[in-house]
Amino acid sequence: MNYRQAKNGKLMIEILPDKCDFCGCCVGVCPEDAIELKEAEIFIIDERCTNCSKCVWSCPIEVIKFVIKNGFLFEKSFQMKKMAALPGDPCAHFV
Amino acid sequence: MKNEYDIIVVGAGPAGSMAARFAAEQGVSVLMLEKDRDVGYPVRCGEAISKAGVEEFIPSDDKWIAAKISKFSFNAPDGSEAIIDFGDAGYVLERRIFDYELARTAAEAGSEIITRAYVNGLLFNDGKVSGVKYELNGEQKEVKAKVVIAADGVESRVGRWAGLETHIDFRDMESAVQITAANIPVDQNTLYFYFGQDVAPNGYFWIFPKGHNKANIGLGVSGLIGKKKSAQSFLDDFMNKHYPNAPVLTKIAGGVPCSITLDKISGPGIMLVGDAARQVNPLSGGGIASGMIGGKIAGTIAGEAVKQNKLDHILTYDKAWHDRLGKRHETFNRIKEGIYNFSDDKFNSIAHSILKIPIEKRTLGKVFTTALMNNPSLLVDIAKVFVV
Ligand SMILES: Cc1cc2nc3c(=O)[nH]c(=O)nc-3n(C[C@H](O)[C@H](O)[C@H](O)COP(=O)(O)OP(=O)(O)OC[C@H]3O[C@@H](n4cnc5c(N)ncnc54)[C@H](O)[C@@H]3O)c2cc1C
Ligand code: SF4
Ligand code: SF4
Repeated sequence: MNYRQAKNGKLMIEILPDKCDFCGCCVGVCPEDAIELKEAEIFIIDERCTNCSKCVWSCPIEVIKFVIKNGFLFEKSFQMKKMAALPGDPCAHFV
Repeated sequence: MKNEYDIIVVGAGPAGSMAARFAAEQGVSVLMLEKDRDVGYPVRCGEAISKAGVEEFIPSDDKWIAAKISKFSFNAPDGSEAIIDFGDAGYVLERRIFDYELARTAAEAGSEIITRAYVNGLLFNDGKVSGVKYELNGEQKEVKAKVVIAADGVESRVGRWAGLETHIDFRDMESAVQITAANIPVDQNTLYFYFGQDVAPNGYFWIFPKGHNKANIGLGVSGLIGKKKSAQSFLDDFMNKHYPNAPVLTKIAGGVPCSITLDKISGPGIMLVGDAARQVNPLSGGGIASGMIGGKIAGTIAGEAVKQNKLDHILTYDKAWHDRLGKRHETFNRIKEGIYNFSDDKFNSIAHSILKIPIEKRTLGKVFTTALMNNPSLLVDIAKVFVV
């Protein structure tokens, strides 16, 4: 398990690689060059990410999520949706 | 494969293939690296292109033409449909074959091509780009070059590594989804466009026929809209309403950078082409033809620079692009910004006034004049596109 730290605090952005289409839209809008995208592999380069969320807004198929607190995800619809609580630190991201 | 080339092209889309071809045609050595297993696949594109856009580069060939287009259908939010007949206007391509053929022309001109080669860094010499680092079959490698041409698409990072400002505002990025579906009984010679808050705010929804009742169905919305509702949910809503049981043959996501071209698209040892340079027509989102044009200009200039041993010559690319298309795109971008602000009522009233023109008299000019009466402030910009 690999804990991820974002530039201005803890990484709060989560990509669900199993759902990803590897289209590159998020990479195009990321101001920090913080997303690595290969043919069928994607991940956030944690030390560059600033949690700005531009990738979340731009993903056409809702594969990137913004984790705000205690296992709640910030969904596109602006509704809070409960997901299985993450163990340990509320904002921790596990890979 | 050598360990040094005159020119390296990163990415084998239409822009990369044309850059490689026009460079190689001048007798310089060219290597094109593509990260995916296949050139031309997956296809993240609606595949519509004008006939002139194709034929500047390759003679029309039925093996990559899925449908021949003669009409455009504009659909307003209230359901009014205005059809405009353009005659022999363009095609819906079969890009998985088309892109392959473009790469073949690059190969025939003499360039080497390698797939599954993921470029993950640049080499520098004296502050100038001097080659690329790449991963091939799990192994990290390097190859030197006098000029690197970045044709790495919407996800481009190469230009940024070279020190150019390549970032695109998320509001200008159209987040897109598209399916290719069967059993869609639309006219096979018409491109259908849908506008309005319900289907694709700050963007448009399309149905492009692909022959035998297959069609590319998709939409793009600005990242600003994507904040509230994703492209995916707009597509689901449309399909549930209009074609609930359509068999889906392909589904893709994608991003279309609908902005003006980057401020700088060349630097010491580096040139940017296609989506990587943001050379897409910002009004239509069409980037195949404009990417090929960017590739042709860059490849030609790079080849000349190497042959004459005057590498500074590549810096003339910015102006050459600006004169050919960059300037036009600035105007298209202003028109796009005007249209983005149209309300549903405005789209409806434009459609109603177009419908009053008899179909045989609906030329592009007339249609635009009609649209303008609804929004005179766009007049100047539109006039510039068609007059200049
Ligand atoms: C949904 C959608 C619909 C569209 N519809 C149309 C349309 O109807 N008509 C039209 O004209 N345009 C359309 N476009 C735009 C058009 O698809 C693009 O503008 C066009 O493909 C750009 O060509 P390109 O060569 O610049 O980039 P691409 O075709 O994207 O090619 C870039 C290549 O670079 C490779 N690459 C990227 N990074 C690396 C790396 N690090 N190392 C090695 N290789 C790399 C990629 O794998 C890819 O093959 C659409 C786009 C989308 C997303
Ligand atoms: S949150 Fe911002 S910085 Fe982090 S990956 Fe997304 S776009 Fe890049
Ligand atoms: S925009 Fe979404 S689907 Fe596309 S590569 Fe990024 S996470 Fe994957």
